[in-house]
Order: sequence, then C-alpha cells, then structure tokens
Amino acid sequence: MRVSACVLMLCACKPDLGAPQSLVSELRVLAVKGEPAEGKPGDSVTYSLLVAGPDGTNANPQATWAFCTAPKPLTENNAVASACLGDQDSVPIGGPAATIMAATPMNACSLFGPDPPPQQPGMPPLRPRDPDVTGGFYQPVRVIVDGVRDDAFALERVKCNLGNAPIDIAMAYQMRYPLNNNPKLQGVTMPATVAIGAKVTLTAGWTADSVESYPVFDLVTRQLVSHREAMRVSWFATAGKFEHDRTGRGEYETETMTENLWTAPPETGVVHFWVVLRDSRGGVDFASFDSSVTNL
Amino acid sequence: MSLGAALLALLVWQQPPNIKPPKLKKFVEAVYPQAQKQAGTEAQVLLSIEIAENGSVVSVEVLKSAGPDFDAAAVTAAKQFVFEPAQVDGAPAPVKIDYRYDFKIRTEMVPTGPQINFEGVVLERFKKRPLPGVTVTLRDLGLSAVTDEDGAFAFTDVPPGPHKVSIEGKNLVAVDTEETVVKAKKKTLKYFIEEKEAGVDEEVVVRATRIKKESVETTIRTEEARRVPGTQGDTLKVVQNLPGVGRSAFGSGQLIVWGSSPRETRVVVDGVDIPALYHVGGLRSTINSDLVKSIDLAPGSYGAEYGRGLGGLVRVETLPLPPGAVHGYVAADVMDVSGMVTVAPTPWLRLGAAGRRSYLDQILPAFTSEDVGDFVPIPVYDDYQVRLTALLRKDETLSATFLAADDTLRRTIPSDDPAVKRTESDDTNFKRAILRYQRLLPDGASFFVTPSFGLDESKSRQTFGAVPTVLETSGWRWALRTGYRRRLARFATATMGADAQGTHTEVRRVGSIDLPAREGDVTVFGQPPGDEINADDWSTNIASAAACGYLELALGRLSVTPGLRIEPFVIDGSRLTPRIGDTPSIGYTRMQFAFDPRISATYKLSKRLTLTAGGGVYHQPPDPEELSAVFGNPTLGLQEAEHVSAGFQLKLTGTLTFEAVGFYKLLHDLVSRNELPTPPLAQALTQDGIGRVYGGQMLLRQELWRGFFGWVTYSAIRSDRRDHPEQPYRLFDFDQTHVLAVLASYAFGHGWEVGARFRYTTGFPRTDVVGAFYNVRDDQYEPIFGAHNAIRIPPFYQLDMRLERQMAFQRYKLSLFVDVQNLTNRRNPEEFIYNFDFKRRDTIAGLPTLAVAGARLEF
Repeated sequence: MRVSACVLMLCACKPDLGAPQSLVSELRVLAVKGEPAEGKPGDSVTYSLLVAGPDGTNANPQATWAFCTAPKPLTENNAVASACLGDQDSVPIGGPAATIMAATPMNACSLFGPDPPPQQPGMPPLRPRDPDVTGGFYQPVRVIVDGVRDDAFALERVKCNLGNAPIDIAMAYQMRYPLNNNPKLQGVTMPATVAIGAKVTLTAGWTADSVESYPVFDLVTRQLVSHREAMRVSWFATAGKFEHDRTGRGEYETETMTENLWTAPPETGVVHFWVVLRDSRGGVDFASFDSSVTNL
Repeated sequence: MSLGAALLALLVWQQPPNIKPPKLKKFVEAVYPQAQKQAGTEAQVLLSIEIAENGSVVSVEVLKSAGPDFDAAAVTAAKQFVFEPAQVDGAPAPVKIDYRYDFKIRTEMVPTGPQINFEGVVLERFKKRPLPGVTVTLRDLGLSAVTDEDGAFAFTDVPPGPHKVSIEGKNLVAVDTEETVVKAKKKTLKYFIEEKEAGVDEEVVVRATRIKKESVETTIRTEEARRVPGTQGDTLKVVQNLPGVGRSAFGSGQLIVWGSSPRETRVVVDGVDIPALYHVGGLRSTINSDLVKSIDLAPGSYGAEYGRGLGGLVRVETLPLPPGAVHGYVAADVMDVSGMVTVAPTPWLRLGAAGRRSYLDQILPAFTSEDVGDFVPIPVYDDYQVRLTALLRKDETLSATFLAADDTLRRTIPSDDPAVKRTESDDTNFKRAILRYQRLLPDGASFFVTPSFGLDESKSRQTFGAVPTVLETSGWRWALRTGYRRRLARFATATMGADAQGTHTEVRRVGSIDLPAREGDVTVFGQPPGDEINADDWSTNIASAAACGYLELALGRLSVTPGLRIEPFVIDGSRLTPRIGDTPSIGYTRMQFAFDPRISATYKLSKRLTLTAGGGVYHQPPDPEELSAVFGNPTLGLQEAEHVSAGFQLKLTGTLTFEAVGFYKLLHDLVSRNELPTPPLAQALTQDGIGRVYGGQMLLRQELWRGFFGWVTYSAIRSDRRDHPEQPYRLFDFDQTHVLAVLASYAFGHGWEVGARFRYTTGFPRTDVVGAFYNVRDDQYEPIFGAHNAIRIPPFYQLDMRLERQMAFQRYKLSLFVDVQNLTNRRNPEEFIYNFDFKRRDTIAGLPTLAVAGARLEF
C-alpha cells in the first residue's frame, strides 16, 4: 500500500467471519426441489430434499413439512414472515419424510399473491402483495429436518392472476406465460483425484432449454416485457476452499456453464461436493460428487 | 435734692418700668473659619453685646468660648450688628444683652458651569485594551466626542432622557445603541467593541435592545469554527461538535439533534430552507465557509419565526461582502479545491463568487484496498455561490444570493453471483436564488423581505442482483419571509412576520418497499433488500403560509418572549389510490391548521447567573416521498411535537461561560410502516407513532481569549419511539445516550496554531440476531431478530489534532495545515456484520488514522 505525502490512510477493515457458506461442516439443508417448479393453487407438488453433512449426502433425511399461512408484514425484510417460524401460522403437510407430496393451498394467491381477501363492508380494500422481479408469487413451505440446526423455507412458485393490470394485458399474460420448469444440470466436471493444495477449476453447466423466457408485467411501462432466466450455481464441499460461494450467468449472458476455482485441503481424504443450480423463478436441480485428495 | 425731686423719685420707685427689648435690624454673617469648615466642625459662641441708645453696638464680650477662631469670627460679626434700640418707658435706653452665635455647615446647591454627565471608555472586546480615536456620537443631539489615548470620552450637560448613541472607528464594528441620562446623575459606561475581521465591513445595528430569544442556543463565530480540529477548516462542520448534537452515522453527514431524526431538523441560510448542510458523506458543507458569518444551533424550543420541523434549527447567516479592492482565496487539500473572489466596483455595490470541487474519488483508490468502496461511499461533490450586495442608502440594503450544490456517487460491486452484483448511482443537487431587502427605519424599527426560489433534485438508482431500486424526486420550491420589528415601549419590542413556502414535487419510485430504509426498520448491515417490488409515480403540492409574531418583554431581571405561529397547510396530491388497471387516478386536496404557541424566558438572578426556560408546539408536514399510494400513504397529515426546556447560564468570566439545560420532547402522529400483514390499500404507512426525548446537556466554553478557545460539551439523551399504540417503546435508531466532545485550539505566536479534539459517543442501537433460517430459493440464511434495538454498537471515541501555520506577506496570507483524524488509530466499530448463517458476529471498523494536509492562499 503506497503512502503519499498528503494522505496516510488505511482501508476500512472487513473482518474475517470464519468459514464460508460453501464449506459444509455440519448437517445442512442445501436445496428443496418442488416438482413441478410452478403450479396453480390446488395443484399437487412433490417436494424433495438435499441434506448434506461432513460425511456426505444424507440419503434419508427425516423432515417435517408445513405450509405457512402468515403473509409477511411490510415491517419485515425477510422472504417469509417471522410468524411462519411458529406453529400457530403453519398448516402441517406431513412427515417425517424425505419426500412429500402436497396440494398448494387454494388461498395461496390470496395470502401471498395479488388477490387480497375480499373487502369487508364499510372497510377499505386491502393492499395486494407485491410480486418479485420475475412477476412471481410464492407459497412458503417450512422444512424442519432432524439434526439440522436451522429451519429451512422453500418457496414454491404459484401461478396467480396478474394484479392491477389492464384487462387486455392480463389476458395476454395468461396466454403467453409458461409455467416454470426446473433446470437441468449437465456437464458438471469434478476430478476424481486431486493433489493436496492443488487449485482446480470446476465447471457446472445446464441444458440450453433450462434458460426459459417468460413475460413480466413491467410495473413502470405497464406493458408485458420478455425476460430470460438468470442461472446461479451454489458450490459446496466438505473441505478445501472455493474462490466463490456462488457463480452464475445473468439474464443477458448466453453461456450455459459457469466455473469456480477450488483449492484442495492440505490433508488427504475424501471430499464431498454438491452443486445446486437455481433459475430466476425458483426452479432447482442438484448433484453431488466425491473426490479423493491424495499426495500426488 | 428739693422736696419736688424727692417726691418724683418716690413716684418712680413706686411703679414697674415699661421695657421693650432691642431688635436686631442688621445681621452680619460671620466668616466660617476655613479650617473648621473643612473639618466639618460646628460651634456655638455665647456673647455679651452692649447696645447704645441709638442701637449701635458699643462692645462685645465672649461669655462662653468655642475656640479662638470661632470667638474672633463671632465678635467681628457681632460688632457690625445694628439694633433697634431698647426702650424703657418709651424712651431709648442703653442695654446689655446675651447673644448666642451658631456656626452650622449648610449644603447648598449652587449653580456652577458646564458639568460632565455622560462619559465612558471604549475598549477592545477580547483584549480589553483602550481604543483611541473612536467617535462616539449622540445622534439625536448631533454631538460627537473622540476617545483619547485611554479610550475615554465625555459629554457635558447632556439633557436627561434617552439618547441614541453610535460608536464608530476604523477597523471596528460599528455599534448603535441607546442610553438614558438621569437628572443630576453622571452616567459612566464601558463599551467593548469588536475589531472587524480583515476585509470585513459589517455593521451591527442594534436599534432595539436585543434580548436573547431562544432559550437554548449556541452561536459560534466563524473565526473559532474554522480552527476546530477535525473540520479541515470547514466552518459549518463545527455544528457536529455542539451540545445536543449526536455523531452522525458513518459516512452520512446527517445531523442528529436532541434525539431527532435528521429530516426533522431544519437548516436555513439567511432564513431560507436548504435540504442539506453537508455534502453526501459529511466530508464538506454545502456552503463556502468564507461566506459564513455565524452559525446558530437551537436544538429545540426555538421561537415562532421558524417552523415546519419537529427537531432542531440550524441557522447560517452569511457575511456581508467586504468593500475595497479585490479579495479572495484559493485553497486545496487532498479532498478538494476551493476558491472565492470578491470585488466592490462601486462604493455601494459588492460582488462575490465562490466554488468548490472534489477529487477524492480519484485520489483514494490509488492508496487503498479494493473493498474500501464496499463500505465507504466516496462521492464527487461541488458547490458554488454567487452574491451581490447593494447598499441603497444608509440602513438599507438589497442582496441577491445564488447557492448550488451537487453530489454524485457511482459505485459498482461486481460479483460472479448475478444475484449479488450491486450497482449504485446517486445524484443529488439543490439550487436557491435568494433576494433580501432590509431596511432600518429612523424610528428604530426594522423590516426585511426575503423572497426565494429553488429546485431540489435527487436521483437514486441501485440494483442488488436483479432487484432494482429507483427513487427520483424533483421539487420546485418558492418561499417568502417578511418581518417587521419595532420597539413598542422601553420594555417591549414586537416582531411580526409572515413565512410562506410552497413546493411542487414530482416523484418516481420503483423497487422494493424496503429501500430506502426507514427509521425503525429492523435489518442487518448488508442484508439484501426484499425482492417484492412495485412502482409508482406521483406529484404533490405542499404549501403553507404562517403568520408569526413574538413580543420581547424586558421586565427588569425577567425577560419573556411569548410568540405564536399560526400556519395553515395545504396538501395536494395527484393520486389517492394505486393505479388499478386502466382506472384513472383520483387526486386529493386537504387543509390542516397548525397552531404553535412558543415561549422563552430568562431571569437574571445575578450579574453572572441567568436562568432560562422555553417551550412550544411544533408541526411538520409529510414528506412528498411518503405520499405514494403504493409505498406510502396519501392521507398523511401533520406531525406534532411539544418541547420544553429549562436551564441556566453562568458567566464565570467575561469570556468563560457554563451552561446547562434539561429538556423533554413529546412527538405525536409520527409516520411509520403499517404493521398489518395485509394492510389497507394505500396505507403502507400509518401515522400513529409516538416519540419521546428527554435529557440534558452542558457546555463549558472559553471564547477566544489571548489566542485560546475551546469548549467541553456533554449530553445525556434518551430517545425512544412507539410505532403503534399496542407496541412497546423501543430505542430510536439514532439514540446516543452519551455524547462528549472536548476541544481546544491555541495560537501560540508566529502564526502557529495547534488544536485537539476528543470525542466519545455511545454506539447506535441495533437489533440482535437470535437465530436464522435458510431461504432455500435464494440460497441465503435470513436473520431472526430479538428485541428491537436492544443492543448497541460499542462506543466510539477518537482523538483528532490540527496544526496550522499562517504566514502573512505584504499582499497575501498563506496558511498550511495538517488535520489528523483518529490520531491513536483506534479501530472504532461502525456496524455489526454477521457471517453467512448469523452464527458469528463482528464489527466493521471505520477509517483509521486519516491525515488531510492542505494549503490556503488569501489575497
């Protein structure tokens, strides 16, 4: 760091906050996949879990599932209401089970979408929920897994009507909008053997049709605007260090793969890897791999 | 004797005689013996006086002596007495009488020649040295006197009654005042006069004796303010070191006064509102220091002249431009370059222009690590001022001032994760055109008219991954202030005025309802905004016209200033409900009245000790940005506060004072987020919040004395809020329980000055994270919060120093300075930061040692 005659200054220090998110050192939920990735209220969705730990993938995680029924107040900044953490505002779906099938509640678009409860006589109308940047609305699903410290919330995308749009726009939207599909990983390259301390470039790809185009009602222009899904890859390992916890491609990038640099640990052993692919509308795919770190 | 005479004698003997005593016809005053008179000795001399048949004195004999001097004087006088002779049976007869002569000292008013009955001495205010050659004029009598070598002046036979007195001298601040001469009494005065700052031609005219109106007010002279360490010579940054002012959040430059939100404190320049006293980041003020005459901070309980704010009031008064030839300066340091030039093309016309431009954004990256931009926004700023002053007549001026300030911030934090990549682009600017007409009338009254016009613009565009945040506001504003001040009686001065202001604002907002964040939001530093978005555009017109007045009553030791401000507000908006389909929007207009009584009082317990008290009701209109039907609430109305304060001021010496004030503020109808999970339409904000602020502050201040000045200020303040009636109170986001500042500066000769400042503040409240859950869709952990604002960032303390060397040459003056902040390199925590799953917490430290060196050339 150079010092000038006029300024003597050091950076505002960013503290070291310990292990990154990509290091799996305890049992954790890494992904929840809903199949289909998007449906209407009343449609059945099958949910499956990816639970990882220092010893690898938990093949049969015991999870308790519940739908949250509490809309998020404007005073809260999280993805779900804090009330969803309690049992009072949850409707059990089932479990303990690693996979479960449940019908999206019929009032999902009312509680979490653009269809607020009907106006009561003498009372003002209620404020509809705001969509996310992809124009979507989501039903929170609470997942409590035995042995995992923190609850997890999956957000199942729900197909609702277009709120506050002119009728012609709303009709066009209904005709043009494709339900989301889960993306598909492909071309994930992970060496089977790695030398201790070696730096390895890992690659994760996806199929071309994983990147879907979909219309969004632009709230500024009040027209339907076409968007393209961005793809994000979350990287996890039980040892070593990734350069980035997540990589990906933005909406306007056409590549169908992403890379990450991983540094092998200084000791030998088996390292478990997981890769989770997410698209902009909540679709998920995941895969797991193992590598041996040796004294090459 | 014959038989007949014998018979006559027998007849006389047989009848008593008819005796008439003598009567003094001519009295002669004895000459009072001088020695005895000076000694104040009085006496009585008993004489025996023989009076002849014709009434003349034959002889005088002393029967009882009072001393040879008194005896001789009495005898001499008595010998000159003339009597009407005594009569015996109708015939004059010689007689002897006893006579007592009294010597008594009598005070007698004797008309003499001309008498000095109005005199005094003129001294320099700070060094107390006599000022010769100063002209003292009794204007109503047309009499003048010039002070001698000892600064003394005198007038003879000044008629009793009030007289207007002017004191003028070369390089001295002219003073006008009024004195009363009482019959048969000599009036002796001392006048302490300030010397003008170099190149300054200011005239302080005191027509009606000014009583301090604000019960709590701190005024700082610019020559002190410029030398405060840590301000880099920026006069207006001294406000951050005044009592009642908390430390602003890191990199914000916002004013936190008496526990109030920054947007609740008004900043006025020559009576005209400006939106920001400091550029973004608080690095510099928006007004050039060389144009500033004084800075007044009233943290609360201020008078009826000002309103539209629940918090404090910062008043900046600009300096009259200097006369004479071209003056100015150029200065540069590591942050920016600035300059000013003034010229007086005619004796009655003066012009000035000043400007500043920053370049820190270009210098800093060369010396710091890459991630400093993640935490420290480095803005680009500039400001400029143009001023014209016309001296129309004596006591009549017209001035035109143009102010402008711009701030730009661009920041990109790239990431391989498209959801975390961030961009930020902020542009803010304001402009003001101010016209001011002032006149001092011959009868002592004064009035002014100040119309102004301005534009405030702000464009903020941010992206956090795919989540946009756009907030663009453009506000035209006009204002008109007038005031008329007049002495009604010896003990009463009245001021009446009008204060009108209107704004037309266009607002456009897109993005999450969470950004921009509001006071009271529960978040953690760096938390991504909610990704639920909306959009709205609307316009508002907010106007008010206040009639205000106050009376200054001087009732002996007690001075009371009651005031009243009656202000109707009109709030007009373009959209009452969100846009629904193709339904046209419906606008609204409503009116609200603010009735704001104010009062302040002082009581002089003694020459040194003065008690103060004050209070009042205050109202503030809603912010145009809060009147959105989507993000806010178009039906928001006035917010209200009541202030009350009491304290004392103790003058320890002529320049050393100690003040202490206790205060309480109650705030009503505060705007906060609607807490309902599904709020009503167009009611994302509600107006049922309550706030309370209470505490005390002290100030021990040494004004400039023999090159030294400094002060110690300490505030203990508690500020909390209750956002909704059923919620408990929680600490205000900007609450700082303890704020201590100790600063001093000393000019030790040969142009050298050194100063130091120590600050200690309690850390800001924060909400602890007590757990976390995993958001699977976004692959991020999200915090579970504990009690609102129940923990605090650790306290801040810092030592700054300043060293300056001034060198005066024939035609210019050069100053070199080094201003070192955080001399001890303390790692002051500025924010909490958590790891990815909120299991570990640490703090982000602010900037460590920062040395700013600069130079300034004045001509």
